Amino acid sequence: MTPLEALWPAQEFEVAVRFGGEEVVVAATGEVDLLTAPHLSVVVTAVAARGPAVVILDLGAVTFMDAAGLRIIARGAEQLTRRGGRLVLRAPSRLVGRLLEITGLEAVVEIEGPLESSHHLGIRPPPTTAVAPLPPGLAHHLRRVTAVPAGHDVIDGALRLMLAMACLVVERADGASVSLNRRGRLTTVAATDPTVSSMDDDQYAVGEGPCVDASKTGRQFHSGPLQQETRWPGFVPNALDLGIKAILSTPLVTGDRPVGAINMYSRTAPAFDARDLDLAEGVAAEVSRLLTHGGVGVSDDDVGERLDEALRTRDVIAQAQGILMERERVSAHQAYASLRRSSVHQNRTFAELAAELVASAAPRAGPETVSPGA
Amino acid sequence: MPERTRYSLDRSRQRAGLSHGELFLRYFELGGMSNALQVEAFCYGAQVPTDHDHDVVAHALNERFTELGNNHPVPYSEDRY
Repeated sequence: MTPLEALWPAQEFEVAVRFGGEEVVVAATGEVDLLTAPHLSVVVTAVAARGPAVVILDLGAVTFMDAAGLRIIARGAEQLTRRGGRLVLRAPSRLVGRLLEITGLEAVVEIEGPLESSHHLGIRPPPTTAVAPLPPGLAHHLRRVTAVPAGHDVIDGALRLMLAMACLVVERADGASVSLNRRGRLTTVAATDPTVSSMDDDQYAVGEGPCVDASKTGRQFHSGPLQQETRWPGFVPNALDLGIKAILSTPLVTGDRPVGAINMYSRTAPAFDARDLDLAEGVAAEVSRLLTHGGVGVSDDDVGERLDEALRTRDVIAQAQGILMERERVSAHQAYASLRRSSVHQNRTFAELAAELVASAAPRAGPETVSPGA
Repeated sequence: MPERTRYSLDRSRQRAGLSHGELFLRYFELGGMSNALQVEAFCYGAQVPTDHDHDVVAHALNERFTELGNNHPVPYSEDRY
């Protein structure tokens, strides 16, 4: 058993390929995520490279897919169409179908077979309590979406997936968006459809609205039935014109600062209820975790400064290692471990100890130094 | 590596209130030689770090815990075997 298998028990994941005339079927079973996606990717790439007319990616037995899987679909479709072929997705589950819709991939691939399948997300509404956590299955799925390398475009992709899931969880929500404070201005970084992002834009333009208030104050804001809403007079009439009946904005917080909001809009329900508010808080917590994980909310200047400082410290540590290696006749690793143990025992930072060591090894002023007045 | 250590680095990271980016910066500052993606992979248990790398990550976490008033809760390689 490799160390990797010992740590992460084999998922029930399989890929099978069937060649038949003009058509190749790649059937996947199990969960397509960060660990298993590479296997699927290699197979799809190899199959597409043979230049078949049609590749059918059978997803009927795929129980979970995140951004990694969507990337494979996008790349496979691109490879095939370049050669005049096409990619067909067979029987994606409801969740996968919705994700394809949200990310716009459904325009790039054909979908065959029933979108409704027997796969359930296992979402049961939680009992309403003061702090309602997300249904465990959903929190698990949302967290797995965050297991992707950080990078703005990837985070935006992950945000879009989370919005798709948010709309599934908060049933009254017909659309959702994430607004973030970027360089002092609120911007919509992800939205389930253009109407929703244009509503965000309206709020930004007049500086008024539940999204603006949520991202400024760090509190959740929701409208009653919009017709009777008296707050935000600069914004509500536009929303009503667009057919919106209710709005809910929940702040996103990294560290202790609000950095934006996740907004939900309803075209059908008169208002969001207490349970929706709780569920939205749960979703916002997961989105905030994703943003914290991605290092969002830290200015470029801060990072630059931190990096400079880190480089200087690193340099001092390397010098300290060198001094110890010379003095004690030990390896770099041993020198490092010795410094680290001292740091733990004396309860002082590694950097401090290293700096002290380097300073103590600096040449002292010699007897040839002439003191004034001598 | 025993089952219970799976993800424990990431749990420690979360308890320490550090994002992956922040953890990497501290790791880098302490002279760590792996890149950010690898450090993230160590935390998730998707890649097994060398003892040295594990200890640099552990020390980065422990220095953060010291700031929070804890006393080096994350074990080093020599403490685990």
